[in-house]
Amino acid sequence: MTQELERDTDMTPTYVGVVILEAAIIVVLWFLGRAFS
Amino acid sequence: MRPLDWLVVVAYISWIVIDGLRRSKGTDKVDGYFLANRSLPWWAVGLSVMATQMSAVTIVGTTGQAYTTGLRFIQFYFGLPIAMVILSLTVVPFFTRARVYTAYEYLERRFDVRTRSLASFLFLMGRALALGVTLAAPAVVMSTILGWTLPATVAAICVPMIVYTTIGGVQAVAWTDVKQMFIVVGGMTTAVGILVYGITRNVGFGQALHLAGATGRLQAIDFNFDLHEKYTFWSGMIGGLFLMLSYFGCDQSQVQRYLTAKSIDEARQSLLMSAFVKIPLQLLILASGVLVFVFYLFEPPPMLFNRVHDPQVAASSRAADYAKLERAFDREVATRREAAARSDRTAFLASDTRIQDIRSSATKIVAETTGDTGYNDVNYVFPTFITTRMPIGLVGLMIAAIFAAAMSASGGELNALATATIIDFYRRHFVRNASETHYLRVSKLATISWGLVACVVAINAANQGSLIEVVNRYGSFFYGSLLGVFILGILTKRATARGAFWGLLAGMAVVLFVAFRLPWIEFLWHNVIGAVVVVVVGMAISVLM
Repeated sequence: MTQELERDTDMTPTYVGVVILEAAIIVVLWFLGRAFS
Repeated sequence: MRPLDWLVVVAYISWIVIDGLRRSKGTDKVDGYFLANRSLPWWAVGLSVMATQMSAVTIVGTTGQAYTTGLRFIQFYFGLPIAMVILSLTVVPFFTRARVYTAYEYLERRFDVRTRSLASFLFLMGRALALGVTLAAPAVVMSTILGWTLPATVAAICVPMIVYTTIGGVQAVAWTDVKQMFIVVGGMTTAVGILVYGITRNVGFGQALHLAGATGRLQAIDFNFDLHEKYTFWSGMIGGLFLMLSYFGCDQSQVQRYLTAKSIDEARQSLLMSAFVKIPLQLLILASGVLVFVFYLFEPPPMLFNRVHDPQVAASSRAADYAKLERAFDREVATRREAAARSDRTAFLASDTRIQDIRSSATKIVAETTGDTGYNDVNYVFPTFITTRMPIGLVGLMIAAIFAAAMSASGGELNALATATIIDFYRRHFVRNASETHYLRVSKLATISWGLVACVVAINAANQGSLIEVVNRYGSFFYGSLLGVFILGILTKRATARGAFWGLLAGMAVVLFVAFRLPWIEFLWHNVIGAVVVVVVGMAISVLM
């Protein structure tokens, strides 16, 4: 139980994925606003 | 609402209560009741985190907001993914290893009992009032739409929620949240599908986007740095970041969700689920509002969606003026439809502006004749669309989704209020060495008590627009400051108990001053100001005294 609770692995690739997805969404929304204004 | 729709709503509410209770295993001890014995999988915790954040206002209010102003509200969430990454790296491993029940327990370990009690007290006051408002806002709308009295609507949301939260504890809340999220996402996706089908019977989807875009409703991003503007890229990225750090890192209603995860990794994954999914989900909801706008370009909309005052207006001295506005509205809607169909942008925009003017005049007449200065039309747009335009059965599904959102947001909050009351006050200050059975019994009593308080607040808040505003502001008074005190504790070794306590008070005082004396600074920035003041004042007192 304690060992399971302490499971703590590096998730850097996931964090990078979060930032990339957010950047992509912002770019898409910006283009959407420009394209259909 | 037809009998089949009612059947769907009743069957759904019965199912979530029964299944919630069935899943509440191992809740005969405090650890099981408040933390599910730290046994829940990441995906269930992640859905519970999202369900707790998503209230019914998110569905009825956000869609209405998108109907009137478009997608720009999405910027409010821009700080969320970054906040989740920061929290995954900092407080998640920290709280999990500390084996705390509440976030505020940590403050006693790091500073003193005074700081812990103050922080927990601020949470209890703010969250109890916010819970009342969380229930009031959808209850007001649904009571009008369904023709129920307000107390009956509040009871329809509260009673099942209090029952499963009290008996099943955090496990019942989490597993109920999982189901609620599926219903909400399923319901919203269905609504979008029906809207797209309805729109494309009249116009191509590309043309629909051009029509929405012509009115500015697809302008989601505003890069101007302007403290007067509520939603900009910068207020969302900076103010929103501080708000989300505080909400997910220091607010017990969220901290408790990820404390139930099996491990540090699973707690992280549960938060990162929101980091990936929250903005797309919010876009789905906002898109529904924009699509409702396009839908009503080709199908006749009501002049005002909130018809609660219709009889009063019809019996007033302004009845003739109101009827005249309705006739002008119908004519203008026909003109706008023709302009939209022949893609005449200039005529379409001119007609749309005249329609907005007519709606404003109608709103003024309603407010004048009824004295309802807080008259709100925005929250009624989507429920009106659901109940008048969706097929039988699906109406029931959507109403169930709104009830689901109201219950899932409030269940998590209620559970957290009981936890902070028992762990931070009752067990810490009053009865320190009682049996598990005793603590479990008072925990259930605390849950019922806070549930009743929330119902009373909800019924009273519904009739006082100003109270709702005060409650919303209250959250910003303490959120940033609470974040500041946790930053002092986690990121610095030199901060003392005295610095933390007085820094917390100073942060709240400054935010209070800014909120009332500098009202042009929009509320998202209050979170930044509060956190910075607590850190600066707290460090200064720690170093100098």
